Amino acid sequence: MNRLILGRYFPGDSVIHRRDPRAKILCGAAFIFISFLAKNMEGLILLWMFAFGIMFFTKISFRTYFRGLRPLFWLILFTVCLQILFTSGGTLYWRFGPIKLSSFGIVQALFIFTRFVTIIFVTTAVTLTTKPMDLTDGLHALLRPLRLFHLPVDEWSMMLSIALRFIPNLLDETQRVMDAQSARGAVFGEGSLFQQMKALVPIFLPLFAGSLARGEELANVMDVRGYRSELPRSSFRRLKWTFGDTCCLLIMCLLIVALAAFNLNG
Amino acid sequence: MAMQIKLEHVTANYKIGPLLKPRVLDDVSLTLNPGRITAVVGSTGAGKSSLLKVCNGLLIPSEGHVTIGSKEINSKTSKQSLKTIRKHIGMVFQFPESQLFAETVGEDIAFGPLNFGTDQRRAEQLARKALQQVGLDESILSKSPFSLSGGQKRRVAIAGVLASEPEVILLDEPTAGLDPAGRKELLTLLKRWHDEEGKTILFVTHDMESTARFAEDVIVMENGSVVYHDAVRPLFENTRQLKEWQLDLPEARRFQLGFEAQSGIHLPHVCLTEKELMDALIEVGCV
Repeated sequence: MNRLILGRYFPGDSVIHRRDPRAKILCGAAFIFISFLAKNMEGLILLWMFAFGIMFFTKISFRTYFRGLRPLFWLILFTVCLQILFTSGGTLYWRFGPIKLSSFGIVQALFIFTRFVTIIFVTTAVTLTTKPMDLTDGLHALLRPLRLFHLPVDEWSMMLSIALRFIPNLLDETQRVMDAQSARGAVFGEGSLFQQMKALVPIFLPLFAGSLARGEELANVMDVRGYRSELPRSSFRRLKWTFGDTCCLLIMCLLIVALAAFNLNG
Repeated sequence: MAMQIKLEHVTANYKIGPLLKPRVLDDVSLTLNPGRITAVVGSTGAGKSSLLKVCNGLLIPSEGHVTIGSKEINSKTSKQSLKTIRKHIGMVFQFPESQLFAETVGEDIAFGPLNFGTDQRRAEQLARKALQQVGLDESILSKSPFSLSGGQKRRVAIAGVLASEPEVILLDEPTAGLDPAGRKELLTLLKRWHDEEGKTILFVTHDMESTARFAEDVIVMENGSVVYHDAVRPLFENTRQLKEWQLDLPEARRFQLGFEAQSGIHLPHVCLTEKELMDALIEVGCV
């Protein structure tokens, strides 16, 4: 549980840390689209360079990023294998029934692998350097135009910030319930897969029950303190867009142009 | 065959997530008297809960070792032997009702015994017995634990620990959040269980009233160390020392001190309950 990197904030004061959350979210989202633009080797190399550049500027050790990759390892391996073994085209090196190894398949797998890993690296860089609260504020600010279509953007962001706020409490409580059940002789992480899954019931049910009770309480407290979702809300923390944030977006635009240029030449 | 718990130079660190609290227990050595009720008191963060956890193998000492009966817990003890230790040492956590999970009260209470390898029929018997020990009616066995009242949930959770028939029971603030009547009732139940079965009880509390009334021995903790471990009565004699440890006095004792200061009459012994106070007042001829 403690090894989960995704969605955790690493305090620091790097160039990336200081960027406005809106800029970071926009760049992160843009990168996901851009990674599909890379269609040749030059593009591929550019993606890797960009990803490692970002990681370098966060001043967080590369080891942390690779640890963040670990939970997705099997998914990546599976997709890459699928690409290698079932894509035909180019030179055929080896085949066995429907399974074949071709030059085209290998190149295709390389692209898939690059997309996967660089996207994870860049998005991890965003979440590692942005406080969860800033992230919700940024998201809220970016989604605000959707209010024109009567979408409950404010409620969404309130829900998100409440959810994030209670993650530490939930972790605490998980530890407590696990301790209590171990004291009653429950053993976790042993036995067959089915047994391990069954062993989780005594943890999750109390957690669910506790969360429901707490949610109810929180709703009451918000009511009592006069929270009303339909009223306009002001915010204590103001996001400030700086020149550096504009630069970030410009760099992103440059990256798009470069990739597009590679495609035209290639 | 009461079980002896012995801590020798135990130092333990507490880790939750990325946060490490070093030395929550700092070189603690003590021997728990078997078959007695011992209260653990001290200010918040003094290491009371950690002391309990270390006795149950939930917190593993980084230095030193804990001996429980013939078994030893140190930094190399395996999961399996921890389980055998936990069979004999029951632990009731703060707000234990938050651990209830099963569909029926009966299933929840039988969870412990089943984990420790008793068969279904025997587990059901034990559940019935435990329910009786905490003063609840058998009719709730088939009810959902989530449908019970707060006090009933607490008792069911405690029954879930008693059902494993432990030799020693550790309780972390068992009466927190209960009304005075519920508090007294719960402690009386525990005392009865102790008297009938002759088992050891170690409980953490902030309430000096329950310490004075129910405990035989007291452990006072401060900054991860044990600063007092002896019988209850001598503890409440030295009021200056108590103030230093930021501990309160039971009401009867407070009355006694006030009375002695105002009247100049000295009562023959330290009074911890109203009954003792009354007897002492009659004895010196004030009433």
